Amino acid sequence: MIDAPSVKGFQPGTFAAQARLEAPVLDVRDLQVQYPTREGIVTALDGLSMQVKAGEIVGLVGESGCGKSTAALSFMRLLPKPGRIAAGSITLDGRDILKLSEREMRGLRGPSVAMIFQDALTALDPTMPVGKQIAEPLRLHKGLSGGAARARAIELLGQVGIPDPERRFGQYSHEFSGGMRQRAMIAVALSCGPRLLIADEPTTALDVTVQRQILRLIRELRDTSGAAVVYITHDVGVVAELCARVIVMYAGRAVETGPTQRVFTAPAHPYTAGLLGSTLELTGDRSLPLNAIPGLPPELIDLPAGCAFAPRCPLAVRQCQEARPALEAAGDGHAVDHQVACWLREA
Amino acid sequence: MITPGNPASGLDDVIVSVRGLKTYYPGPHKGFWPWSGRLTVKAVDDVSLDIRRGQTLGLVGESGCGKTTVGRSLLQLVRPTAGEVFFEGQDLRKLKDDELYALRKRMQIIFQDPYASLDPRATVGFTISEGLLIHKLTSPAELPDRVADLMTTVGLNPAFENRYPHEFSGGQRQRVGIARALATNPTFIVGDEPISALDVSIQAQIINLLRTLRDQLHLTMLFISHDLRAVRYLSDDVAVMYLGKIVEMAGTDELFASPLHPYTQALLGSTPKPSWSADPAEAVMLTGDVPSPINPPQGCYFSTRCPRVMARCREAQPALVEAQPGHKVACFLLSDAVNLV
Repeated sequence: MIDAPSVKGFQPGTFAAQARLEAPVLDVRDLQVQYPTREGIVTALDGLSMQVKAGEIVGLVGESGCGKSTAALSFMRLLPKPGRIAAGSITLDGRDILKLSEREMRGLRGPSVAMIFQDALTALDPTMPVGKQIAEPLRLHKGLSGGAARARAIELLGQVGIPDPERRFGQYSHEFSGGMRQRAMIAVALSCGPRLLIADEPTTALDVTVQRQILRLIRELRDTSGAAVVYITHDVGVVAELCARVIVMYAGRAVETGPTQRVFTAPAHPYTAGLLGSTLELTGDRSLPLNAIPGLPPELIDLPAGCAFAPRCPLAVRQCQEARPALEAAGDGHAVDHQVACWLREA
Repeated sequence: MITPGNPASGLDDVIVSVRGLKTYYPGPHKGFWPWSGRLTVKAVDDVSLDIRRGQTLGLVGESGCGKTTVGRSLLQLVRPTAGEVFFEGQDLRKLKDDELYALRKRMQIIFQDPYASLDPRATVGFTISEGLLIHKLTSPAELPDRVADLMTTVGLNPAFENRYPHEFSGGQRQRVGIARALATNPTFIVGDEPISALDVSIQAQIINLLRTLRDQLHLTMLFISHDLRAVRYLSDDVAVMYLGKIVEMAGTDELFASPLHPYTQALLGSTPKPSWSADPAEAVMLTGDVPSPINPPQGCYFSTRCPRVMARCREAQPALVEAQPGHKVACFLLSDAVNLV
């Protein structure tokens, strides 16, 4: 077993990591991820920086191709080939995971960082009973005996709200309904009490009534274990409900970041405003047309020289076509950590 | 030019009318052997509804509730097991194949998946023009102009007519699907989750497009979606389905302002709300999942998840009754109240 000193001694449910609360669990600096393709190099993620503290839920929101899932996979160091991290650093609990060997990294997946995926049916092993998949990491990482791992796995199944966990322990994933499968996968991810939980669109494939149950579960788990959570979604509504802070992404870059309420009630970037205007609401005047963003997101292989949003931006000026704005303080004087990458920010 | 469907025949008449629609599918085998009998999946179980000319009915429900099957049964893309489906006064189930074939140009469908619903080997121009050729609606000489017209109408560059579906994004493909549906000048269109596979900013574009087209061409629509928010923007009336049955039906504003059925209330309460909003979510939370339509629960189908279940609900099925003028609901909590009045 790989010993991860910074992880050892952390027990879910206790705030043994109290001293570490101030330091972020996840600290990403200027992360750049590239995929070499036949047409050239695609920069899927360009200069992403983010910090997530223990007990905090940070939302990563954007449309397909914006780089949010690439970010998640690089935090796990599970980028599919030939993707590679071209620049930047990812620090997990004080350790730079980009410098670790694959063997060391494997020791961290589970106890330090775990991930829940959109599609539980493909994420779970169809040939192994669900309970065994929860018990396996407990035996590997925590050194539990077979019996103890089984008992803990049944306890976890109960915790994520699966009725009759003892019977469910021996069943296969095809015997579970969609919502139950998602819960089982969450139980697998939580089995070793990870410090950082990455949730990649965990409710996108689910019905709203089941989504409501899963959102509550994630919030409860954060409360009891004090884990840091990165929640990735395209759904602005879910972020508004769940996340204290949000990073809005477009074409591989963070375009706006800050406290969710601030960003969503007073968006500083025209893309954020467009995304909010496009979002369907349950209240408000439904006779007006939606403020849809015209056009399509750019191809990552062929990004414009300036701001990637400029071709669709209603406010674009010449400067936007020429140079790319950096992520800087939004300057609205309300929130220090409200940052925006736009030439039109109130400097 | 795209010509509007004929508004001459009055605007308030019922164009699509469904009575006691049942569509059952053969389910899994009861036993091990191939010859052992099969269970029945009651995908749609006794649905009745009317759609008036120029109106849009939103059909909303969770996966497996039968909303797609209703749409397909209306168009006879699956043959219903029982019930009557009237389109402009004709019972579609009694028509011969060639009569139905001729009627198809008047009723079209937009599919959910813009990737699977377009032939990858056909240019989008061909896909759009196929219906026109089949129904001999346009002479070959006029065809290119007509296709260009249709592409412009749905916001596509007509210069792209010789491109193949893989060259387009999801939103653009959905526009091709819409152009194909509009090509034959239909009066009635079924939109089967036409926006759910699209990104947020593209969803808004397509909703705006569907609204514009509906108003310009006086289209009658059945808009099927799992998303109450999308239904709200497009529908005049909304029907909520659960496990093959309609549990509530009302005008859109009425339904969103005062939902009566506990299931509708739960659907509305489950939609995410900002943490800073006045009434945060979690008011109603359902437990468990939708039961299987192969083996639905006794009594009211919603009784296994209903937060306000009573003993009666487990024994008998509530009928869909008018609780308030124009607001129908199938729930004992309300039908009792009605009886008392």
